[in-house]
Order: sequence, then structure tokens, then C-alpha cells
Amino acid sequence: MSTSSIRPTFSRAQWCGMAAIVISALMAVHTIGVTAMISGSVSGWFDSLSQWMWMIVGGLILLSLQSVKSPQISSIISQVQRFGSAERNATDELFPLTGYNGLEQGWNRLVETCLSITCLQKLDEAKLSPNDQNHSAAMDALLGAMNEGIVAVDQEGSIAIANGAAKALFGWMNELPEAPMTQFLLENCSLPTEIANSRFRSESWTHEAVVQGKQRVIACRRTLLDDQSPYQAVYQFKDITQRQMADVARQNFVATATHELRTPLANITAYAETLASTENLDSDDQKRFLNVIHGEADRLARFVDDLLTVDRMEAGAMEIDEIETNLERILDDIEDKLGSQVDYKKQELEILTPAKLPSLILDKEKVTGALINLLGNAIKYTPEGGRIQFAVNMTDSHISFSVKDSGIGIAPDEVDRIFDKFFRSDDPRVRDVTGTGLGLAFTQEVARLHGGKLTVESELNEGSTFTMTLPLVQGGQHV
Amino acid sequence: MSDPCILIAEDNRVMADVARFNLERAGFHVVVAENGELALQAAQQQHFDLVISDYQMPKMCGEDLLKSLRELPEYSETPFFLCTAKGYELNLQKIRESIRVIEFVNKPFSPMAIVKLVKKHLQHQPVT
Repeated sequence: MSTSSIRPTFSRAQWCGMAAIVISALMAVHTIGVTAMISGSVSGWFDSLSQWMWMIVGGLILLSLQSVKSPQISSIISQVQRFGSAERNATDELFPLTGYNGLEQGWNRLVETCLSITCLQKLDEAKLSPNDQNHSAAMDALLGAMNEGIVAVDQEGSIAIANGAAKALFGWMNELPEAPMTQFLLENCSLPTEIANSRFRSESWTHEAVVQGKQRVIACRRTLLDDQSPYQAVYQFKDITQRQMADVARQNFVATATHELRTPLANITAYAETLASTENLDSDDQKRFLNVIHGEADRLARFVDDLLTVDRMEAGAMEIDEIETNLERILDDIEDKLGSQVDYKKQELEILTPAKLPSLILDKEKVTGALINLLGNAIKYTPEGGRIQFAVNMTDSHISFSVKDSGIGIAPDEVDRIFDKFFRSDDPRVRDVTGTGLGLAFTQEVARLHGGKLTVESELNEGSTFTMTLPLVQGGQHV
Repeated sequence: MSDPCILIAEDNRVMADVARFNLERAGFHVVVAENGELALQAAQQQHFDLVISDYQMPKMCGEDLLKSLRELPEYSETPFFLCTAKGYELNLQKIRESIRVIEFVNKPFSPMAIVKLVKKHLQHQPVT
């Protein structure tokens, strides 16, 4: 900041000081005259002279004080005037002050405000003046901050500009390719020939690519610019993998929810209609039909409960109600619910537990549900006559529940996704079995809420082992 | 003359049971198969006068089952019903023409309506 504008001229403050002296002198002369006239004595004249002298001294002191400060104050006034008249570079010459008490603080605040306003004005100017160097810097910053890949090609079709996202997507770390963009896209980015040849202003296509070792789906768009533009076209590349996965999850959910709601409803309707319209129905059939209606209504209620559970899980609001629970009772419950399914599929179920089953502090209902999910899956996805092993192991700090099956196993590329809500494998052997795709998501959440974890080891066509490990609460989980 | 024989291909066992109950009560003989493959095997082992198939089934879908059956000489004129909850997504006209499915039954279906349709096509009088 420059101080070159401090000028050695009389400022308004200096003029005020001098005016004070003149006024003091006039007042003194007036006082002397009046006093002499009234008293008519020499002593009175001397008293008045003394008063007059004091006033002169006061005026001189005031004048000297003003002369010390006035150059800077004069400069401030001058700059404020220039700034007020909107002179372009006035703010460049604003400078903070020290040693002026209240005046200094106010002035410095004003300087800070003006400087920040100036920065904003400069950004505006960069926007308004495309040829300005600032404009180029601002555009670089904007393009660099975008997640979307942007490539502009010149009128010859060569790549002229590519932002960081585009460079990362195509691996252009050191230099841009020399080939025309269209050729590059035809060879590397699934650009359909008809779009390459099209003259429509806007065209879109999708491209599946492996980026940094992961399968991604890229939405590509080309916008042709007019002939006056230095650029022929702008290409945008957006990673829509997440959006597509969300779409698949939504479709899975709709398919699952529709099936899980419609099937029991259809069954209830069919049995109720049969009960109502069949004459002379014997009591055994009546009872059987009513049991079916009851069972299907239960199935509907369970599904609605599952949906609510998922909703609570999504909101992070699922809670556990930990109470002292006998592990033996949990295992009995599981056997009651799943024993008939094991028998039906003629499977061999081996249960390995410690000699003495302890009481634990946990949410009995949710842990039972989680274990039923694991064992239920093992039964569902293991062929008739297959083997299933359920093992409980304890250490000083943890208890683990392992379910090992000899079923269809999980493909390596699906292992990471099996805990996703509503995920169902594309394997037709899975599609043949009814399921909501919620069981493992729920089980994982139950393990997490207890401070534990759910892990899986699996080999396609060989079988899977799911292990839920829960920590034992210090000093109290064994009762 | 023996009772007309009906094959039901349906993986929803509960629904198949109630359809069987009502059809048997109306005087038909009924065989239930749990998926398309089993239904095809059953149809090759004995002749059925009418086939009711669900569209969405494990192993082999209803469309493929009926198509395979229609290619067999003994099923060239047999009435086929196709039950579907996805009627709006399928090209019914094409299925009707290529496989000559005579009835599309929307799920959830009424067992009484099924009985009525079967009687219509088999012109069968219930056993009294």
C-alpha cells in the first residue's frame, strides 16, 4: 500500500486549528477592550492581557497537535473521497493505522471491509472479461473442482482442454492424446458410430469402464458448439455407478415388495373365497383353510415388520434391548422354527456348542432373528441332503456363532454386496428361492449394534461360512 | 368316461393346493407340478386335457413350458391357461398367437373363476 498521497498542504483540521487561534485572539481583544472600558484601570488591563496570552498559548498547542496528525488524516480523507467517487484503484492505497485509539479501530475495520469487497469485485470482473487473465484462472479453478469430466475439442477435433476428472477417468496424467477426440472415444469409450456421425446439438450414451480396477458406469454427453466458437464440441463424462446401483436396489425392492405382499394376499383371498362359497365343507378342511389364512396373514405382518426394521436401520434408529438371556433358550427357539425345514430337505444339521451354555446380556429377539437368518439361508441355499454345521465358540472376550453350509456358495464379485439391503444374487439358484434380500443386512446391523461383526467366507459351488462375533461385556456378560 | 385331467404348474404350493381342491371338487382329476421342468416331465408321462401354468416359476417359466408342450403332437390342440401377475409387461398377443394360449388369468386369481373357465373349455359337467 502506498502512502504517496500524503501531501504537505493545510488540511481541514489545520485550518480549524488556525481558525481557533484567530477566534481566540478576537475574543481576547474584545475582552480586553470591554474590561478596560468598564474598569478604566491599568491593573484590569494587565489581567486581561494575561487571559489573552493563555488563549494564544492554547491555540498554538492545538495547532501543533493538528500539524503532527494531519498529514495521515488528510490522506485518509483524500482516499475516502476517491473511494467514494468509485475511482478504480482507490482501494489499493488504503492502509491501516496505529496509535489513534478509537479512530484507528474504526478506520482499520473500514479498510478490511473495503479490501474484501475489492476481492469480490475482482471475481466479478473476471467473469465479465473473458480475456482477462483472472478469467482463465477462475475457469481453471472451476473445471478442476468439478467431479464431472469435461473435455473441449477445437475446430479440428483435437482435444484442447481436459479437466482433472477427465484426465483421471481416461488416465491422461502426463499429456493429452494426439488422436482426434472422436477417434479416441470410438476406440475407448463405447461411442456409437451413429453418434460420432450425428450433427445433433446434444447426444448421450453410456460407457462401462474399469477405472482404477473397479467397474464403473459412465454417462457421456457431447454438445456441439456453433462455428463461431473456438471449440467444436464439449464432452461431459459423469460417473453414474452409484446412481445405477441405487436404481437396481430400488427395482429389486419393488419386485421383492410386490411379490412378498401380493403372494400372501392372493392366498388369503383364494382360501377365504373357497371357505365362503363351498357348501358342505368338512370341518378338517375348514380348519386347514383357516390355518392357511392365519399363516399367510402372519407372513404379511412379518414382511411389514421387516420393512419397518429396514426403515429404522436406514435412519440409524434401530435400538437393542439388552437383557440377561439364556443361550440355551435361543438355540431352542431356533430349532423350533427351523427344525421342520431341515427335515423337509433331508439335510444333516450338526450343532456344536460348549458343554455348558452361558447366560448372556443381549437383545434376545434380535440375536435370535439374526441367527435364524443365517441358518435359514444355509437351509435355503444348500441342496437336499446337504450338510450344515452350526457352531458356538467362546473366548474370554468374545462369543461367535458360525453357520457353515455345503450350498451353492457366493460368486467372488457378489461377496461385497450380499450385505446390501434388497440385494439378491443374479444366480438363478438364488432367484428360484423366495427371499427379501433383507436378512443379511439385518443380521449385520444386529451384530454392529452389539459391538460385534458379521463375516463371510465363501466359495462358489462349495459353500459358505457366516460368522457373527459378539463381544462379551466386561465383568458381567457371563452370569 | 373318466374325469378330465388337469395339470397345474405353480411354485406357490399354497395357491396350487386351493386350486386343486376346487377343481377336484368340481370333478376334475388334478396333478400339481412345482416348476416348469417337473410339469414338462409330468406332461410327457401322462396326457392332460388342460394345462394351467403360472408364468414366473423356477427352472422353466410358464411361457417356455407351454411352448415346449405345444411342440408335442399330443398337446397340439390342448387348452392352455397362463396365469400372470405381470400381464402388462408381457406381449400377450404374441404369446396368444405363437403358443395359442386360450386364457390369460391375472393373479391373484379366484379359484371359482378358474373352475368356471375350465368348465367352459372342457364343457365338463360337475360330478353331482
